[in-house]
Amino acid sequence: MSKMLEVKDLSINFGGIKAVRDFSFDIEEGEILALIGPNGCGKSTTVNLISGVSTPNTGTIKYQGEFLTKKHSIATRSKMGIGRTFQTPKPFGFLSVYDNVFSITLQRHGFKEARAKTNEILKMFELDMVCEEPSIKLPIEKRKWLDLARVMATEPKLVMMDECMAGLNPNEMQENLELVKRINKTGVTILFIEHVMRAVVSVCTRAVVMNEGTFLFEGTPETALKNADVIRAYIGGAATETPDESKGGE
Amino acid sequence: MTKAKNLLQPKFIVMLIAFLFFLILPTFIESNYIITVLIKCMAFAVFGMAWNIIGGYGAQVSWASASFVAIGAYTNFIMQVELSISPFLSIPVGMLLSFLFATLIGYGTFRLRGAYFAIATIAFAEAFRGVLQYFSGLTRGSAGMFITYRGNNFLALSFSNDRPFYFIFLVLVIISLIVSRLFIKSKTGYYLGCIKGDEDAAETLGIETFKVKLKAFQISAIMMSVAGAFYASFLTFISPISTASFNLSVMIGIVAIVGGTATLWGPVLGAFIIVPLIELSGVLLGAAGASNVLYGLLLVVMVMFRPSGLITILYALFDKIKKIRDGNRKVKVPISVDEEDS
Ligand SMILES: Nc1ncnc2c1ncn2[C@@H]1O[C@H](COP(=O)(O)OP(=O)(O)O)[C@@H](O)[C@H]1O
Ligand SMILES: [Mg+2]
Repeated sequence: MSKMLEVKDLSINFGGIKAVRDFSFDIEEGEILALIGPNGCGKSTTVNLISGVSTPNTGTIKYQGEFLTKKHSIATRSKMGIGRTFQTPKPFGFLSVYDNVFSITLQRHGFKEARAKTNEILKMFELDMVCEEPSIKLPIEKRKWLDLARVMATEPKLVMMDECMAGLNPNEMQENLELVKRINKTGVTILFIEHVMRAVVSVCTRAVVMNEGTFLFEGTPETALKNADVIRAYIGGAATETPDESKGGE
Repeated sequence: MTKAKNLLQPKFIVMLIAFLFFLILPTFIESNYIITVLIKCMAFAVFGMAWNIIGGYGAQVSWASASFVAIGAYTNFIMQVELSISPFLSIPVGMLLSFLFATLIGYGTFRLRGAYFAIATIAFAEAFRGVLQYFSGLTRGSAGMFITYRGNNFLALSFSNDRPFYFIFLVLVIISLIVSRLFIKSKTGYYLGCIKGDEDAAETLGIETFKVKLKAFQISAIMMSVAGAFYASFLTFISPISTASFNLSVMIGIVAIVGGTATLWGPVLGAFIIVPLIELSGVLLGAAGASNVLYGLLLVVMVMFRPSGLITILYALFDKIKKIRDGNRKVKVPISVDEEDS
């Protein structure tokens, strides 16, 4: 397997706060890699750096063998196959669910093909029944799926899912995990970001743990759960908790 | 739905009736004043539609509309007075100039978020008015420019009465409706809708927001200058105050906002409400400042009662008629639900 992404010594400051410092990790082509760590450890910031939303102070990001620089705008990176969702979904306001996806498929296809492609994607994410609704009226779990549906419409090679499980009930989580596996089976590499580790055990073979902006541990999710450093980072509690946002403490 | 059935939609029937109505309307009107008011309505409908391309569909509010009207108007008059060139030949020049100026404004501001664009348009509009006044050798400065009557000559847009302009503007309204419709159904139109919805999300999904906004603004500016050129020939007199003022830009924005931004017919409806209102207030109150008070009042009322614009009242009505016509039949069929469930 070849490398999809190689992150090396990545750092960024926000007015003195080192949100990410000297962080390195790799993603293999075709895998589902979990990126986990307690709240505020720099996971979303890492996604922003890779997707081009923020520019690193130091460090390099290599995507499919090519270094990403300032020249690669956010949109360019999307066109190169780097997709991401947002921790808080960002639907296109009053645009219909259908048009949310259709507008994005139009980037790679003519109108007729784009329509077929859109229907296919909406169906995959079970959004076909609400396709005429304004996207802003969707409930939270549907918004998350719409976010993901739109990313799939860009025909990505790498998708970074920023806490796509948060706020879902156990049933929806299960469905979500199945969906992630299905997306991965179509050949898409996935960076699966979570702050609660239990959620990732069933889909990922490898997990990278972050703490205070930097690398802490790498291994299978099972070994990560047992690692003393990791447990300490989570103050011994949240890591082995059930994947429920509301009770994160001891 | 089949094509034939589409033609039976209430919207389409209303459109056809409206067109026929406006086509024969002048034959029943003797007063030249009423004709000129109708022409102004149609001119502002076109201005409003041009504004809507970037201000409505893109939610990038421009206050430089008057500058682009003036570019069309002055290009027309200067080339006609100095070089006796037909407006039909000077209009492309005006289009090119407005394209360039829109590019200049957009280039510096569309990479930024927030109010930068709106502020830049105000700054540009003021500077542009100053330029019109300064280069008085060409523009006659504050005194303004006249076009003299040269006999009935379509190529010179010179007519013994205003009626031909009625039909010219009717055609312009129809062309603008078609252009607007084609625009919103184009790829750029769809991308612009995404940007309006959430600019950050649009960008991370591959949409080059800068280019899309710039393109929309260029199209808007070009439409504005074409309408400005015809409007100038109709007025026969232009000045920095009448064609390049902030007041005119505000009126164009108000037309779209009252009628309904980001809707096809909103600016048309808005123009046919605002223009007669302004005329009426001018007649009743006399003072020139009355229009400003009126704009303020209208905006407050709109924001309070129908922020989406008056046209949406009509749209809702059409939807109701459609539902009644279609009876109990399901109107909206979700896409491909009949296949197996996974
Ligand atoms: N734009 C920003 N400005 C200032 N501080 C930021 C910004 N983005 C993130 N941070 C800070 O960086 C740290 C990491 O945040 P984040 O990446 O969102 O963590 P996580 O996603 O792992 O919960 C936090 O302390 C956060 O407050
Ligand atoms: Mg986060």
